[in-house]
Amino acid sequence: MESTLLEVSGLAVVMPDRGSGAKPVIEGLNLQIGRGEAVGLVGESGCGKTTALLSVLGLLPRGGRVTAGAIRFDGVDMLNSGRRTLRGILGKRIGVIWQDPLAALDPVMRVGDQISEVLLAHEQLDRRRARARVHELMRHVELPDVERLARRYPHELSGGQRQRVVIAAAIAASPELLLCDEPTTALDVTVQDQVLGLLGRLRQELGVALLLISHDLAVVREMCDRVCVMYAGRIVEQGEADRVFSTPLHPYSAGLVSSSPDVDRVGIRPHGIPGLPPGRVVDGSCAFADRCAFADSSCRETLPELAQVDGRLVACHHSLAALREADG
Amino acid sequence: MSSTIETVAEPSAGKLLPRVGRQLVRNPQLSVGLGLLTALVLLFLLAPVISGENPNYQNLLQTLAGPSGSHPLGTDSLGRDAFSRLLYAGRIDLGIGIAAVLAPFILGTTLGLLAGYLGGWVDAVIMRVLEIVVAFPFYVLVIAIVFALGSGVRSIFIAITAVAWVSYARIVRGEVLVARRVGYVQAAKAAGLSTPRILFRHLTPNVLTQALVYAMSDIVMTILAIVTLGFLGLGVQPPTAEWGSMMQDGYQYISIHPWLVTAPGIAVVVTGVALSLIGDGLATELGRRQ
Amino acid sequence: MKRRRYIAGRLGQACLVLVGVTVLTFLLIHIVPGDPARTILGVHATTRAVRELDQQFGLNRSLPVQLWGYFGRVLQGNLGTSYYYHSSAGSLILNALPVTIWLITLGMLIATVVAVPLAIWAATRAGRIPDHVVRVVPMVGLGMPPFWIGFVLLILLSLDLKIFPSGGYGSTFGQHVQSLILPAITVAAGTMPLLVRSLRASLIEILDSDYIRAAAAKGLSRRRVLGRHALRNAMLPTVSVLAVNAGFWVGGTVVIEQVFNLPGLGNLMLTGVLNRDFQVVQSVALVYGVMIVIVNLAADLLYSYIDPRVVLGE
Repeated sequence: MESTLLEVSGLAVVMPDRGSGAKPVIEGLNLQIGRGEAVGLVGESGCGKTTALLSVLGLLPRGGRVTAGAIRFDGVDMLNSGRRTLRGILGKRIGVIWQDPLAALDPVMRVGDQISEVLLAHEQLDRRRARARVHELMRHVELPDVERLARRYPHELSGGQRQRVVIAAAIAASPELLLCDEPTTALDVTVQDQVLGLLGRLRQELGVALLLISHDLAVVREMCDRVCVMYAGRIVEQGEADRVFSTPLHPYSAGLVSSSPDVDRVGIRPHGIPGLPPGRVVDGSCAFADRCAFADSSCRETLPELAQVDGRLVACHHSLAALREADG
Repeated sequence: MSSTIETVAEPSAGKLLPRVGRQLVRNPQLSVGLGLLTALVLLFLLAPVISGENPNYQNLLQTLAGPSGSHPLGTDSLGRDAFSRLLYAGRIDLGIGIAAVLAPFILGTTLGLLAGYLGGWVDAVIMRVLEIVVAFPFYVLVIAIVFALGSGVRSIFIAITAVAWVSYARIVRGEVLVARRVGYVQAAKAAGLSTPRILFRHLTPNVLTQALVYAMSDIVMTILAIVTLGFLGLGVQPPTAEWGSMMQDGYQYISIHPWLVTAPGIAVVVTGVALSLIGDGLATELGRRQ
Repeated sequence: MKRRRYIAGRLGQACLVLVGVTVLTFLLIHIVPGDPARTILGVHATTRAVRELDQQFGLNRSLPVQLWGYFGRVLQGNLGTSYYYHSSAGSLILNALPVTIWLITLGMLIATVVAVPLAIWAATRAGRIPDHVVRVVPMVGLGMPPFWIGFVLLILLSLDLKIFPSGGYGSTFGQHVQSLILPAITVAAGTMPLLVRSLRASLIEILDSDYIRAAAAKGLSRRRVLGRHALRNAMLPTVSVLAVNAGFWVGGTVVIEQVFNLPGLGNLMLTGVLNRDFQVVQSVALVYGVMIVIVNLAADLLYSYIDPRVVLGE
């Protein structure tokens, strides 16, 4: 077993809300990532995936705050350390790949400078050496004609090129952990595969640990060792990626799998999930009950806890293991 | 604060009253602004009751007197009661300020509607003229026009109208361009309504509200222009009490009687803040509705 | 290539406005009620003086001919002769122009130095007390007559403390600078509200944007995140707000020069108004117009350099 690199325990986050002032959006979140391990975080939009990532970075949007729990990176308390300590970790030991590369790049700064500022912030490099490193990094992420491209502005690049620039900046200081927030959602389908191929290659070469947020289950299954399924701010199922996707135990995981055309559906009838996620933490009942075909009164009266089922963790009163056995 | 809210809400009768009251509580900028303006207007209108001194009575035996019981702000170089003049000047400055905004409001809104809706050469002509007018510093053009026309209230009205319409035209044109894309105008067109009808029945009310919000800050600008012209001796002619000309009088005695220039200035600032608060409050209210 | 086309287009537009500005100053004399020359010179003027002035402006010829003549003169740099000083208006303006330009430059510098930290202070604490305090600044500032701020400064700093001269321009460079400080602060006080309001609003929006979050996630120093990324982006809308309102804050200097008795363009214009020196008033108005057109052009070109997207017309 590898040592733990990132450990999130009992995390609770609230975000500003017009009506009540603050609404809980993440509750009791536990998540571990070992060195070199790739973990997927899946769920519909509005389930708290991106919020979880931003809390690790300490960069929640205005009004959002962590109300309970702990986040440790290689033993460092990320919630209570000083700004200086955090700056030594962000960019240097944790790199981030953002969902929308056009929005994540400063529109008025040349892309080469946006890569080199990571190097200048964390490594003792003069400008000339930094520039050489930038070109090297850009070649590494398979960008063409790097000398010319480095002097371009984000809006002058194609979507795929922008995301490669974001990746180059994320890996510039050879981080131990890469946080990827839907790295391919904003890209054209043809470019998606290339960027994913690049990510996979980089992971092998650099041995970097990965937290991959996505609602593309095929991607997660291909890239990740483990997967956490998130719903309404809580993890509802966690386990080995292959097993979770081939035999989902939580009805929500099953719904996701069956809505996804690229994953083989095993043992369960395909159906989409009606309705929308609540967009906040629900207490006193299963948050998925209203959309679940298997829900009964117990689901509406008590919150299911995460429990060991069949070698993974599932939070459901009627985990599909039993049903599947009955189906035989 | 509750008393000013009541004063303001009074004219609206019946069921409306609690609703207006609630809105004022919810929008502190608007209520504070309205309260402040009401207080100022009352102060200016009740000047004879409050001060009792004739603003134009010259007591040449008592010039440049310091503040005292009968002259709270002392007297000016002609022995006139400065406090009394301050209040009476408020009528002139606020009154002309509001009146002088009407013509540019109407002219600018009309031209903005025409430019935005008709487009083409009408738009091109109006926008070119607008670019030329904004190429001059506001005060430079106003001073030049008042100079050419000769000083006085009539010239002030003409000069301000000639210069201030551009802001309304720009705001209204921008709003029309946005509204045209939004679709209700297209729907009206598709329903076979004629151009002028769409222009005035459907577009105007939506666009007008934006111009109205701007008008509040425009009144502030206009009062500043009147005061500035008064200070330069180009505005309202003496002996009428006016904040700008009061400051011009006091300027010579700034080292010994600084309040003669500071007091009218503070009056301008307070009036300006009241109007700005109302403008901001209206903008917030509009933002909530949309 | 694209940049060159953008600059050419922008220059053409500026030239068009310059022509319009000239026409407008030309028309100034034609809105003078009654017999212009008589009105300008006053009731006590001799018939000969009136005839001379008629001659000078060519008022007895047709309007297009007059306009053509005016254009020709202006293009040759001939701004006419001051009726009062009996010298060329052009040379009077050339003497006064540097004072006004220094006043504006110094004023803008002071305004920026004060407004930027203030806006950052407010924007990084949006919705809290510092923010509310800073939001009041523009409201009060924009409601003050530009010259009145000058009075207050005079009373506070010049008359009692005698730190700064209360007027004039002095004769040495050191005296010039000393004389310019109070008026420049007055100019800054008039401009700062606009700057603070625009900067604060765009900073608040930008600080919550993805690229600022991305910059912070790179482990950059707070100074770099704010200065290099947030402020640079926030400057863009601010530059255009300042350019659009150039007429407002440049206009303020007219009266401020009068208060501090600075021998700049505004002072020249107002003395012209007092002396009914029409030629000077008209020419100074023209120069102000040209100045604003240049400021706007410069702002647009500067904008296209800070924000490369502009050139593409996005």
